[in-house]
Amino acid sequence: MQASIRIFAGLLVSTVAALALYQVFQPPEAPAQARQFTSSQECAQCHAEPFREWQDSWHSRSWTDPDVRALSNDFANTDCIDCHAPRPVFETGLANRVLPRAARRAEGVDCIACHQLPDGGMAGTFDRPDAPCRPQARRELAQVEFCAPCHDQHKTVTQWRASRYAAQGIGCIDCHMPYRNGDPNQGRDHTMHGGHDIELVRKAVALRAQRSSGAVEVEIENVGAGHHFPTDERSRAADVFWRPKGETAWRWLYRFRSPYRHEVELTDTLLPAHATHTLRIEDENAGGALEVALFYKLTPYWKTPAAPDPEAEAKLVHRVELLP
Amino acid sequence: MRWWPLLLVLAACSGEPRNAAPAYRLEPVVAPAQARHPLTLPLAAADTGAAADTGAAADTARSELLEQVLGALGERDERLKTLARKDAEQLPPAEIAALREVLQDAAESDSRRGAAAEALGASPLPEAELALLEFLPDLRTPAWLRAVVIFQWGRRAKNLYLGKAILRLKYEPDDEAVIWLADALSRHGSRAGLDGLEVLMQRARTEELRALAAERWQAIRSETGSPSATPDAPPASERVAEAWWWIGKLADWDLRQVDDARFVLQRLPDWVVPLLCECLHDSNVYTRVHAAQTLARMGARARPAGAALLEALAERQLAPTAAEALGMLGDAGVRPALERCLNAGGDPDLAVAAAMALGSLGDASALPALRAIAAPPDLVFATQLARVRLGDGLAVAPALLQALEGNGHDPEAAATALGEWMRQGARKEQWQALLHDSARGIESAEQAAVRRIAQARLVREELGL
Repeated sequence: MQASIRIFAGLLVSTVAALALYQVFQPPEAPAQARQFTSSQECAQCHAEPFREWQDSWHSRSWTDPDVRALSNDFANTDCIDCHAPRPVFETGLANRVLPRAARRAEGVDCIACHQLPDGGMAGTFDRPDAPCRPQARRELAQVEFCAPCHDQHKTVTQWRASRYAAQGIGCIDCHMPYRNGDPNQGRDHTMHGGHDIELVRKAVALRAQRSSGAVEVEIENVGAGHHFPTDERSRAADVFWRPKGETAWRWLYRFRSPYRHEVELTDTLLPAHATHTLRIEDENAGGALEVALFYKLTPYWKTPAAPDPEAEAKLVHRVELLP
Repeated sequence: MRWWPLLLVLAACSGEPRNAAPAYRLEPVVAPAQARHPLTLPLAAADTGAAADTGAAADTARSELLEQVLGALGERDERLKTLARKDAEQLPPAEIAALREVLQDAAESDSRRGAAAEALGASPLPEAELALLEFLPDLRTPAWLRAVVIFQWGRRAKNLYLGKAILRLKYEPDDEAVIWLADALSRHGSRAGLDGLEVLMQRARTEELRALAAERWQAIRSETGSPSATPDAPPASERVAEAWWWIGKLADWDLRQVDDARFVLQRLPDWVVPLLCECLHDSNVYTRVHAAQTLARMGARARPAGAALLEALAERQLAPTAAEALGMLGDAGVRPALERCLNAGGDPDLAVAAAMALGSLGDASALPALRAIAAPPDLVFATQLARVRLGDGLAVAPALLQALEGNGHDPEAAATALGEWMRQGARKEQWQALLHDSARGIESAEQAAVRRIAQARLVREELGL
């Protein structure tokens, strides 16, 4: 009896030891079969939420947006193609310019442009060699230099570097790619809020008006943009208008914009981060109640430059009223 | 011991495959070439149109001779002017700096600024040429003075910096200045201004300027012949040095600088083609890609680059651009190579670029290969765009119609391709009327959507749907 117990115990111990050894020395999980991703549509199968957000973003419309097509002369200005239909950022490296893509241009700045790694895997938040897209944790995705290949073509990152936000470590994604519902566990929003999001624009700038020495003093302060206001030099503009209370037509006062090279009569008036610009309204009609407003334009030109209609052609950022 | 034959077989199978294609050669090209071809004078790194020093006080010492030259050149007496020009030929570099200041100083009289330009035009020194060229990017200067400066640059017996002058064709807004720019360039062997003259013959702001553009265009054509008829003379060493300077800008961070370089290089004479072919092997990927784009823009003039571009199809990052360039060169001999790229497999960019290139090539023999492509959808769409250009519009119009109506492919590319087809049909005038007139400003998203709906309706009518 004792002998059979010893045999049974011996077998049990051996089995447990064998299992334990197997657990320790088992071969690593086989990596997923490398798969060539050729379209952002393929990402939707597993990443439905970020894909939906990207579809709503202006990254997804960077090739098809009529404003872009018009301002780029329908991409006859070929230097626009590089960033509006880019090959992967990781292919050329952070802080280097991207190369233009020939395929799937209608997808604009697509999933592959930001996530595809040269070895065929995808840059992400976690290492998952068993997943079809073989994501690798790559911290570069969160760095300002990751956005620079395209967004510094219009000097946005250079503007940020000159701001206090750079020293504070507040980068692009802190404002433009916040956590979903403010929860880090839910990941970052791929909608990429920017100039098309008027609520974000409103947080970027403050408008104040007061009477001073017989005139109206108007202040515009860049309180929240981590770069100039507006950024994206040349294409964007912000205009200050005013009108006596009760009038319908707005009177143009000032424009924040960086001009094109051929617009030699204009100077660069972009408002740097933290800066305040002061204007004065010295007009006999400004003595009574009046309104001052800041409008934001995604394209620089007015349909009728001599009589611009900001309510029809621009977005209202802020409006203040001043009593007599 | 019995295993040794097997070991030998395994050893024989290991190592590099015997028929493997040699690796595409990449090495520093531009920097060594720039070292071999130094510039006579350093050129400004950027040509941004930044303000010239218009208000600076002239603190450079001016000799009595210089003042006499300026005075005489401001007179109407031709005999005096001739003598003054001879004196200007003798002015040393220090006096050239003084002339530059007079030219740029907005406080100087028009007469003295014009005289300074003429004196700089008479001087044989390269510093004088640079002083004239550096004046031109500041478009806040009077247009008449820019025209004078251009005219004087053209009169010079020898100029080193052709590219700097060619770049002004891209930015100069004054019609008359452009006419004299084309004329000045032709005096130095460049036909780069002919295209601009052709535009001005139609659109110059006055009838007089339109006639002047036509007269200069005719004169340049008769003097230099057609581009294909007149072989380019071997370049002077200074011209080669400047070309390498522009090629160096192909790797610039700022894409506007890159585009300036492409603009200039594509307008240099044909001797620049071998230089650009060398750049296809540069270790800098931007130099390689932008050199290929420049060759593409040169079109048929760059046909001698065909072999180099075919070789470049083996370089992964360069291959799509090389394929596009091969299409633009228009040599039907490259068709089989492009057709092979359609099935590139690993690189969808190359396959799409090859499809588009086959369309650009204009050889209908490519139609069977294009029709045979059934996947992936983006490549199929590219083949459809190409097939329109090869006369297969009727067959692909229904598919392009779907793209126009929004199936995920580029609707504007579909609209452009359908436009090519529609312009051959009965409804070409109706199609033309639907196109957005840029004079009405930027087309909004809503306007574009409405336009595409109307275009789709017209295509349906054409197809009888």
